Amino acid sequence: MATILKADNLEKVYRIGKVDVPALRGVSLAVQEGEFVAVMGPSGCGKSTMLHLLGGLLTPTKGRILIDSEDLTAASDAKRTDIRRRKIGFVFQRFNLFPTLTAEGNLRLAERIHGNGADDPDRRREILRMLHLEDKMHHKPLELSGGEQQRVALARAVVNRPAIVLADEPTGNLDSENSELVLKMFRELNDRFNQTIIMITHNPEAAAACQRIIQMRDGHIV
Amino acid sequence: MDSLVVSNIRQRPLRSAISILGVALGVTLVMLFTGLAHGMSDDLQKRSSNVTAELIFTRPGSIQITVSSANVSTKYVPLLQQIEGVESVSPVIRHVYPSGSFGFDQVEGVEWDSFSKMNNIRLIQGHAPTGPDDVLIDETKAGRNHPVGSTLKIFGDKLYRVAGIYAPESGARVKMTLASLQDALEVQNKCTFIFVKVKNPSEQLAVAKRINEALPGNKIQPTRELFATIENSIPGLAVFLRMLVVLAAIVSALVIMLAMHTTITERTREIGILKAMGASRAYIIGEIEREALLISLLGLLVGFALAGIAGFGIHKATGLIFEFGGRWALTAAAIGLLGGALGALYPAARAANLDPVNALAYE
Repeated sequence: MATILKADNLEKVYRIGKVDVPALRGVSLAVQEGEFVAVMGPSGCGKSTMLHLLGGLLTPTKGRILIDSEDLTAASDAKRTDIRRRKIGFVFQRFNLFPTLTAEGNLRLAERIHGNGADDPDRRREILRMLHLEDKMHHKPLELSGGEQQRVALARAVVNRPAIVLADEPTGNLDSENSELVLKMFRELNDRFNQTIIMITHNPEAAAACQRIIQMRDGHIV
Repeated sequence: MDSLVVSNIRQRPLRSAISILGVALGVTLVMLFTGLAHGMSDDLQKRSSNVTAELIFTRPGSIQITVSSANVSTKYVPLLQQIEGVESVSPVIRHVYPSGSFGFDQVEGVEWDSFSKMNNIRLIQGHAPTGPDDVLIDETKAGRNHPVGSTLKIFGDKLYRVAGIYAPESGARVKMTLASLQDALEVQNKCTFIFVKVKNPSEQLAVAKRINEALPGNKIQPTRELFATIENSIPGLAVFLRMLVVLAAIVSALVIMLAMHTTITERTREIGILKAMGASRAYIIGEIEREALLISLLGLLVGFALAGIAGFGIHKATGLIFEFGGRWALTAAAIGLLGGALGALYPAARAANLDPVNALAYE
């Protein structure tokens, strides 16, 4: 299996007023294509910072990130955005769907952002069907349950076939039943489509669904 | 259609409506003021062009837009008639007086037979004035609820009777006999100017020269030069209209800027999501500009409609002519859309430069 993500000695220091706050203190990891990886650790250990760095939403103070052989850290802001658009799908704890668009509309928006004239209704329907949302396509987020919203968010993240899905506590706002359903969808994506997934979670049961668990503490991988 | 732009506008109907009205205001102002100015100007030109007499004999300062005097002696009438090349002459008093509709109005005192024959004006209803209180009006005046037999106030409380309606429109909308107006203004044997019709129009300048030689110290000029547009008579009007266009553009731009600024503040997290999805700066700016342009376009349509309704209402109420000019409509459209696009540019650029992590965390 190819290495789809490689991070070397990542450091991130936040400047808050006159104080430097180190969030990451030298994190290195490699993720293979098709891996389903969980990242766990106490609050404030740097999990979200690492995820934002891997997704190109932040730039590291030191270190290097390669996404599918493309150097994220050496890229300009526009290039990082381009890499993120092509290679990364995000799933957030708060779903972060656009409330004025339907489920299908949220997916179409992702396609439009992806560009290149992408408009694949069959792909959208296939994904929504796989996530058991085919009868929810024309519903707006407010008309959906938490679990359904998160599945729509997951569909939006994968509609453009990204190299990696980065999920930040995807079950954090769900009850156990919906959490199990969403995790099942993650596993299915990973099994059926060999989708690489890196998931931050506090939930040991969620982590147990993954092939590998990375533990973090105080800005380090332990 | 599942469009972020359309759905964002629909999500906040009141704010969208206010933004649309803000743009519409600028458009309405431009269309209304230019429509009224050009309507008045074109109407004046139309009425002036229906005067077929080639020359006007007068004294300097007799004729202005807002004031006139009767300082030409009618003794010149027979003298002018004798000049070689002159076919007919007709003396006219033009009196400008304050009125309720637009600040001032005009009435002309004429010798109806010579005046109507000279300028090819005919009576379409009623009869020529027979008494000192009879007046003739044109069709536009008659259309404002002044049929034959009705009364009009012209000087103070004195009522004049509408004896007839004439066409085509020519000069002042209200005409009375020369003698009646001389009596009313106490300017016996005086007039404001004397129309001179020449036998051969190609020789009008030669006839004018002869008149000047025979009757020096007066002013003789072609009628087409005298009846200038309102804009030429009021030089500041063109500047005023241009300033109005600039102000309208600024109003539109400011309204859109404020609306987009508020929108972006409310949708900071959505912008963060767009960035997380890989939306480029250009994409984010494009979305915001599209929203601003759609609001501006709707404002444009509303503005045109309001201007039409207001123009119609003003015409009905005051008789002023409103013209919906194509050139000014294009100008109003340009300033509405350009103002909107420019107004949204700064908020759009700010949105595009938001830090995605902070934007995602925004509550």
